[in-house]
Amino acid sequence: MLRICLCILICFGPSIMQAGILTGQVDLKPLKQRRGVIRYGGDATEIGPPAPFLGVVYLTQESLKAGTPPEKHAVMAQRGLQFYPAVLPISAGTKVAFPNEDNTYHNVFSYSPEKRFDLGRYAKGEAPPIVTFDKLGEVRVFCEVHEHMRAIVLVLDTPYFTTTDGEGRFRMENVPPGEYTLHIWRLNQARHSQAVVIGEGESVVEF
Amino acid sequence: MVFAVMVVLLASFELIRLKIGDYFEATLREQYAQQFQLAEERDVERLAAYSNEVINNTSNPRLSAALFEEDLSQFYHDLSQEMKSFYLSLDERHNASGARPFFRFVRHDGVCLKPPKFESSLLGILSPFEESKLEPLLSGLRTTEDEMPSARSGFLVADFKGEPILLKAFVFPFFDAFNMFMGDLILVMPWQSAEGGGKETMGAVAVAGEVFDAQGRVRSKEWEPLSRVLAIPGKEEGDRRVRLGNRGYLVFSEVLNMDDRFPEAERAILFSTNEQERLLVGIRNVFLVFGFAGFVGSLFLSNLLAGGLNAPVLRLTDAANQIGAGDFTTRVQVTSRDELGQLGNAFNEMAEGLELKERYKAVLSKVADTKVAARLMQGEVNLGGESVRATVMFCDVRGFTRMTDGMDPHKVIEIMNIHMTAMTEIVHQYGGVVDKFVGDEIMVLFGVPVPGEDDVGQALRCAKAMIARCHEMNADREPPIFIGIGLAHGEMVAGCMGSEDRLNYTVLGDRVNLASRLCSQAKSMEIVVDEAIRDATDLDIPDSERQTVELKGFETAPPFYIIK
Repeated sequence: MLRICLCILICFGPSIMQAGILTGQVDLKPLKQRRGVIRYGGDATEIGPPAPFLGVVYLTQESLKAGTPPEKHAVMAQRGLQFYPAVLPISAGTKVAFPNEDNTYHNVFSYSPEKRFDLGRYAKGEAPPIVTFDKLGEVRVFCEVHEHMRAIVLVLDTPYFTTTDGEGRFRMENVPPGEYTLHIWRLNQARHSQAVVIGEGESVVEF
Repeated sequence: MVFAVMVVLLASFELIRLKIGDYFEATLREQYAQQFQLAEERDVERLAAYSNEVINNTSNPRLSAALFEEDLSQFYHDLSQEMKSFYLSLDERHNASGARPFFRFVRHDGVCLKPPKFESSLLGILSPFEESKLEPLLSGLRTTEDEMPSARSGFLVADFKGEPILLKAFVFPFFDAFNMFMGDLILVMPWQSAEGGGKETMGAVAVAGEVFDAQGRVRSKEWEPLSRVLAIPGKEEGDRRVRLGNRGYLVFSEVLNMDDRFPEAERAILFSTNEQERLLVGIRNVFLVFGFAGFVGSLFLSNLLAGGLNAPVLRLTDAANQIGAGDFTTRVQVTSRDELGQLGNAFNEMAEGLELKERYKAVLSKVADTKVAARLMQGEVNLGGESVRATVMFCDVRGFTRMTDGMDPHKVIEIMNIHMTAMTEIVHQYGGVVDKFVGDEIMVLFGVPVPGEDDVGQALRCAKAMIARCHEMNADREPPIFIGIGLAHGEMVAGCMGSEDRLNYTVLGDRVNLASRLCSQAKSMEIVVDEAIRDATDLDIPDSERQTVELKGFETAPPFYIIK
């Protein structure tokens, strides 16, 4: 988050002084997290807890684009046979690295039309190719070796986004004041959109 | 008899046939039960094995990822890759039609996902059927929302190159990594049962009115009798007999208890009953041959046994018949000392007795008159004598001594025998009884021993006949014989007279003497009768011709008349 803020700071340096803060709480309850018995042929104790599919809150404006992607790539790690984070919002053009932190092979791939890629098998410490996500949309990411592993890279056309915490709370800083459309992405739920006006200081969104 | 024996033989054979048929059926039923169970187990095992394979091979998240992205090209490509080794192991099982197994995915909403393009390299994806026909065939098999998804299999029938083809579909519910049901992966295999390829046993599967053999070839037409009994909805399963070609089969079948999403199917095993029939024919032949041989043998034996009893009886019968016919010299040959031998001996003794009796009878008939002999033998002659009214005739040859003088005695006897025989014949003809021959004289009785109604008339006619006969015979003999006859009628005593050991049946009395005397009065070819005879008959002799003769014992000379 720090990095993102940094990016935003860099991109929108001149308007820093007028930056506003947006907070609120998203209702994550009806999130249909499908939980079943994970089919895994190996040692089930190696499997760590899955990263939660948190909500993503982002702001759009008609004139607003993703802008220059940050040079620093985003990271979706494999840890405990799970993707961390489960959902990774990025602005379009951002590079994402998929480092393997487990003592086993992973093979991260996606068939999503927004970004098809297949990193092949790689072990811990090997540097897999870094993937650039240009097209907007949800890119579903899987591991060919571990069928239960799944994650989503959410490619957005805006630099203003954040993920909620486990209770759905979010806090978005350094947003230039103005009129925006606020969107909430939650897994397997229709997107929620509403207009917000962000002034200087902290604004609280009520849903 | 033979017919009855045959009927009994055939009836018992029929019983044996039924028993054997039952036995065969029971054996086959057991065999069938085992085979069916095996097949069932094999099917279940196969389904389980396939299911495992499919689950293992489809656990690759690429598949669910591709499905999720609705990238069918990718999906089928990956599926083909994943299923390659499994598919190759299946490939050897494709049936006679040449069609190959393939996979299809039917989404949870019933859409049969088509591979976007057909690449021959996509092993197991290329369908031998028109793509448009697959959805109606397969989408109905999908797992419905409200059921517990589980792998299942069943038979299908599809059109392949204009012919029905037997397919087996294995339906595997497909889940994503989080056990969310995504649809059914269906493996469609042209089917060929593993079992029952022999001549004696044939497997068959009937689905939706079509009948397929163990090789999966459609046989609905050739096996029309079978298609009439198998896989007919609502029809009870059971065992039946059918004839296919020239072979009889016992059909055991069971409706495959499968999912009702599949058409009704029945699996049958056909056991050839030819072996049974051949065995039965063999048994029947042995039966008939032995039965017949036994019958003939027993006939022969009984004949042999009865022959020992029968032949002597037949011989006895023959002999008895001969004796009945009058041949009393018949004897039977007695060879044994058993009851039959005793019977034979008794028979012989009887025959001997009969012969002796017959001989006595013949002798008696010769020495006595036949009538007398008959009465004697019947015991009707009063040995003590009885008083009767009868007629006595004496007939002698006139001038016998003169005639025979100087003649050869043999010639005399011959002439006399001829004469006497002729006279005797006439006597018998007229019912007279020759009492005795005394030299050239014949004494004849009428009215004794059997009382006659008209003994006088008879005697007179007899005398006339004798004279006539004599004339007749004289016409062609040399020297001629002339007879004289005397007749008398009246009371006289008749009976057997003589010593104790030699008796003669004769009559005594003055009438007898009179007749003898009248005979001597008669000249050549004359008949002399007494008054009683003249009175008793209608002889027209006037009293003027009455003569008398002096006779001892008569106070007055008895009168007589001469008939010329």
